[in-house]
Amino acid sequence: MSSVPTPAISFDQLCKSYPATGNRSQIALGPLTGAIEQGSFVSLVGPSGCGKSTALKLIAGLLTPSSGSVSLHASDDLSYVFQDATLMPWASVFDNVYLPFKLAGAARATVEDKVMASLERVGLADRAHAFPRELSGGMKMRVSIARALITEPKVLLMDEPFAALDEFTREKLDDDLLALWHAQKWTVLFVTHSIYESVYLSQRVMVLSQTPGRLIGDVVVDAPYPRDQAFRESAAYFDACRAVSTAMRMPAPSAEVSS
Amino acid sequence: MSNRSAFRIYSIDTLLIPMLVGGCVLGLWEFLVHINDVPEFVLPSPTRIGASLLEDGPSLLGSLGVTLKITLAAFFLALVGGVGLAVLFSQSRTLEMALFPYAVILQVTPVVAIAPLVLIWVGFDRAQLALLILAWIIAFFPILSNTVLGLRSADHNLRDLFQLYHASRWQTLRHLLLPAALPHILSGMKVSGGLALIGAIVAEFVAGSGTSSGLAWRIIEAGNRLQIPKMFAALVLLSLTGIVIFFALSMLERVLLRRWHESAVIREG
Repeated sequence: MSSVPTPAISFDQLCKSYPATGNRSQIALGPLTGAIEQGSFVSLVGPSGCGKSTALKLIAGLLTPSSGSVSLHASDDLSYVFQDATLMPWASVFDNVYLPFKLAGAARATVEDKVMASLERVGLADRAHAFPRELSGGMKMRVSIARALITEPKVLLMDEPFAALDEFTREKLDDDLLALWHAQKWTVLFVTHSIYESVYLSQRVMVLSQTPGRLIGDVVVDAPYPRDQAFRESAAYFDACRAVSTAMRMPAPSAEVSS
Repeated sequence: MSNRSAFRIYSIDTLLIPMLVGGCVLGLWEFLVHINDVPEFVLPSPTRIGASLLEDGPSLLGSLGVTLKITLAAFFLALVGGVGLAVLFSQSRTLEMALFPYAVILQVTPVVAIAPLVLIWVGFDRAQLALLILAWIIAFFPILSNTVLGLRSADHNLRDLFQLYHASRWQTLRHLLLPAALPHILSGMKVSGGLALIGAIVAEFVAGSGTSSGLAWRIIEAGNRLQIPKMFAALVLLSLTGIVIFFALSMLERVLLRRWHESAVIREG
């Protein structure tokens, strides 16, 4: 082991463009260069449509970059949580969480304990046989997280997972997520449009500009974990929020400038 | 909600009210026929039709069996062919582009117009096969187009998720695309079930005379002999068959979807 650990995720001049009218193409994101250390909790904030989700999909390999590259330290140990719970409506809660193992060819009986343990972790063990439509929005999101965590990923990519939930549910899930992360220490890249949520959760907030999204700020949130309501009222919290907010108003750097 | 019986599709009221209306109409019909002394070969009274149903019932049921056999076989083949072809389309866009227009052509060509041709091709001695083909042509398209739509309707994030977990084509089809398509397939089946029966009857009418022993032929035969009550009796049997097919498929839909699909969920109150 070297003294400087390999970053969990790094991206170099990452760029995504889509075909537009005529022969021109519309740049949706980038160029974006940066790295995310192993075991860290990093948020990616930016205005709607700035390419946050695109960045996450590029990292996950769901989209191919138009130019530049992404490298993952452990590309197979990756889980993704979508903005919607993205559950299969025809399958029970248990079967939804079992899905990653099912697709990997593991027999149901051999992983039953793991599925139940994962549901236990998000507090839904008693709803294993319910169907998604019988659950509230917050519960569905918990199932989605249980499914993401069941493979014990090294990297967790989350695309505005709690954006559609009410304030109370969101704060509760934020706390639960932090507790899980604190215990397991996976690398989390959390996309959100909420400055407050990003500061509350993460060690570091990366700020993206308006379309095409480029990195215009990188704010370190210097506060210990576990964090709680007291942190939401602390000076450190407000300072970090202000720093992120200021960064968001910065003009986007021109594309030609490369670091 | 979920532990309610799947067989309780309709409450007492939803059965009772239409039956009451039907009863009134039949009563009025009976009354008008008697009061105006309408001849039997123009419009027989409901009681006369009932009597004919009892009298000719056994022989009509035999003919119904023939028609039903063609209907069910055509429906089954339409299901297998429609879903099968749609699955192939979902795997290859090129194949879909190449073949779908021809499926549409098959659909928009009136079956009455091609019936004589089909009959000539398969031979008059194998009229049953011609009927099966014609009924299949009619029943096949709703299942195909609904399944094509259904296979496309799977949630895009779920598709991404399957890709992230390295699901094979077969796994994606089996565990994502087909379940997502199921509500569409079932509504296609409900349309096709009725169409298969119509197709069998229409084909028999066209191909009919002497080569067939199904219910449509019995209607023609009864018409030619001016046995109008018998004609009506055969019609009643046909309607009942259509209703039974529709109910059976509705029941199937309810059983398969009731735990997860909004269309099949029984709302409280």
